[in-house]
Amino acid sequence: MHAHMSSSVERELWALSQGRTAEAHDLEAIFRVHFEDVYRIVRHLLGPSAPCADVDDVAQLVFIAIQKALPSFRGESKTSTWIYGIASRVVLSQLRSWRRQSRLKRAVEMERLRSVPARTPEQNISEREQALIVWSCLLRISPKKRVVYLLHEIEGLSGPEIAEALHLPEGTVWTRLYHARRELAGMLEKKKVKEVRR
Amino acid sequence: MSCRSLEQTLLLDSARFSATKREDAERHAAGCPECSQALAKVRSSRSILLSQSTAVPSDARATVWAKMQVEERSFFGPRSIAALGTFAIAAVTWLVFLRSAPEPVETALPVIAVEKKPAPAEEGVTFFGGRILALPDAKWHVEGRSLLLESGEIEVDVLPATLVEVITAETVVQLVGSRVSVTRDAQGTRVRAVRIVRAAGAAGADGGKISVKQGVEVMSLEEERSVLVEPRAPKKRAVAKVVPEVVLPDPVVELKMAREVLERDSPRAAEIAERVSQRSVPAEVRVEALAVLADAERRRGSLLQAARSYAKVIDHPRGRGYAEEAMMQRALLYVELKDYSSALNELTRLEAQYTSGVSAPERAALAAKIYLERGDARAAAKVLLEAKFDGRSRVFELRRREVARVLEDSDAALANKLKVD
Repeated sequence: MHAHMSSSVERELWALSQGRTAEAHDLEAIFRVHFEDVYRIVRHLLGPSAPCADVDDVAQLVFIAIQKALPSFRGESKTSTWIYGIASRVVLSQLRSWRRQSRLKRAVEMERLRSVPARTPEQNISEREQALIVWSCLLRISPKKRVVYLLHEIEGLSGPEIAEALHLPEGTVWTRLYHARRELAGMLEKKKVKEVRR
Repeated sequence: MSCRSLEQTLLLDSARFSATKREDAERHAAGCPECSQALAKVRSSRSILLSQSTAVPSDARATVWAKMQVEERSFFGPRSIAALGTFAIAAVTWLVFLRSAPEPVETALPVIAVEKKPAPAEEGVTFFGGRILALPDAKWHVEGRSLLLESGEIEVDVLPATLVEVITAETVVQLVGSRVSVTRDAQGTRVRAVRIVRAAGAAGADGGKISVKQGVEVMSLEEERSVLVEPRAPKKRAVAKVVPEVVLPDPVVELKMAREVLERDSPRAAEIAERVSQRSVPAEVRVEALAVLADAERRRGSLLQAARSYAKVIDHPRGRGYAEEAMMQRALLYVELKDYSSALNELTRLEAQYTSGVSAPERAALAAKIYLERGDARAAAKVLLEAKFDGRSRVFELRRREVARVLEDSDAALANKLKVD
C-alpha cells in the first residue's frame, strides 16, 4: 500500500464521527487529511488517461459520500479500508455510465497513437507505452473485476481487506481477482501475437 | 488457457493458498508453459503499473476543494430530509434518451441560487444543474446525476441542456430543461410534468423533455400531464432443482489404472474395478470391470469370490470375449480349492463350448492333473491322448511326461504311447 493512514488520523475520524451531525468543518478536516489518498485511488481506478476533470469530479463525489457515511463510521475497520470501500463504490457507480467507460478506453487508445514525449527525462518511453498497453487491456475488463484487481495490485490491499471494503465475501474477491488476471494475461498475449504478426 | 492449475498459479502471489499449495503451484508453473507464461504476464503487468507515477497534480487539491465549496450548499444544508434508503438502481436508458435530447454537459453547471430560508413545506437544494424541492417527509438521496426517490413527493427543476434522472423502484424519469413532480407511495410512482421549456427555434429541438420508462417502453410526457407507473408484480422465479454435480473420472481410464496396479496392488485394483462395475456404464465397460475384479480377487486370494466374479463374466451378454478365459480360471480356482468335481465340470463345459479354443492344451493338462491327484493315471493319459489342438504347448508336454512317468511301472505300453505322441 502506498500510504497508510496513521492511527492519529483514525482517531480524528472517529472523533468526527461522534458528532451529532457532520458539519462543514468536519469535511474540511477529512479533506485536509485524506485528499491525496482519495485522489490517488480515484485516479488509479479510472486509469491514467482519465481527464483531470473526471478525476476531480469523482474525487469530489467520494468526499461527499464520505461525509454522508461518516455518522455510521464506528472505527471497526481501518479508516483506509473504509475510504477505499467508499471510493471504489463511487467509482463503480460512475463507471456504470457506458459513455464514461468508452471515453476512458478511447483516451487510452488515443494516447497510444499519439507520440507523446516522456514527461521527464527519466521516464522511459517504452515503459510508458507498455503501461498504456496494460491499461488498454485493463479497461476492457469489467469494472467490478478491475476494481478488485487494482485495489490488490496497486493499492496493495489483501483479499480480506478488499472483501471488507467492498462488502463482498472473500471468495468472491479471489474469484474476481483470478478472472481479472486471467483475462488480462490472455489479452496481453493476443496483443503480443498481433504485434509479432505485423 | 485450459490448464486446470491456472487458478492456483495466477493467485500464487496473493496469499490465497497455504504455503504447501503455493509450493505445489510454483513447481507446477515451472514445468507448465501455459501457466508460467500467464504468471509472467501477471507479474510484468503489476510491475509496469507500479512503476507509473502516482504524484497528485499540485493544483488538484485547490480545484476539488473549490468544487466542494460550490456543492456545499447542496449537501450541508438541513439534513432532516436526507434519510437515506438503498435502492436497486434501474438500468439507465441514456442511449434512448440521447437520440432526441441535447448532449448532456459532463461538468457541473453553475448552481442555481437557493434561498437560505425556503418555504416551510419545501427545501430547495441543487445538484448538477438541477434544483430539488422536496416535501419534508420525502426520502431521497443523490448519486451523481441521479436522484433516487424512496418515498414521498419531490419536484425537480432542471436547467436547459442538462440531463438529470429521477429513479424509483418502478421507473426512471429523465428530464432536460423541465420541471417535474414525482410522488412515490404504495400505488406506485406518479410523474407529473409541471413545466417544459420550449425552444425558440425548431419545436422541441433544443427544448425541454421528460421521458418516463414504463417496463421496456419509454414514453414522453407532455406539459401538465401525469402518468402513474404501478409496481410490477414480482416475477415468479423458476426454482431450479440444484443437484450437485459429481464429476466422476472416466471409467475406461479408471479400468486402465486398475489393470496397471493389478500385479502390485490387487486390493486397490479390486476396489477400483468394483466401483466401476457398480456405476452406470456401458455393458462393455461393465463386463471388463467384472473381469478385472475377478482377476484382482484371485490375486489377493479371495478364491470363491473370484470364481463368482468369473461366473458373472461368463453369464454376461457381452462377456463372450472373456468367457473362455473365465471358465479356465474358474477350473483352476476349483483345483486350488481341491474341489475337483466342480473343476472337471467347468472343464467339460469349456470343452463343449470352445472345442478348438486356445485353452484346449491347457484344459487337457489341467484335467490330467486332476485325474493324477485322484490317483487315476489312466484317465489322465486318456485325456491327454484325446486332446486335439494345433501347435505345441509346454504345459501340455510337461503334463504328458509326468503322466508317462507315473504309468511306466503299471502300464508301460500306455506310457510309451504318451512318449511317442
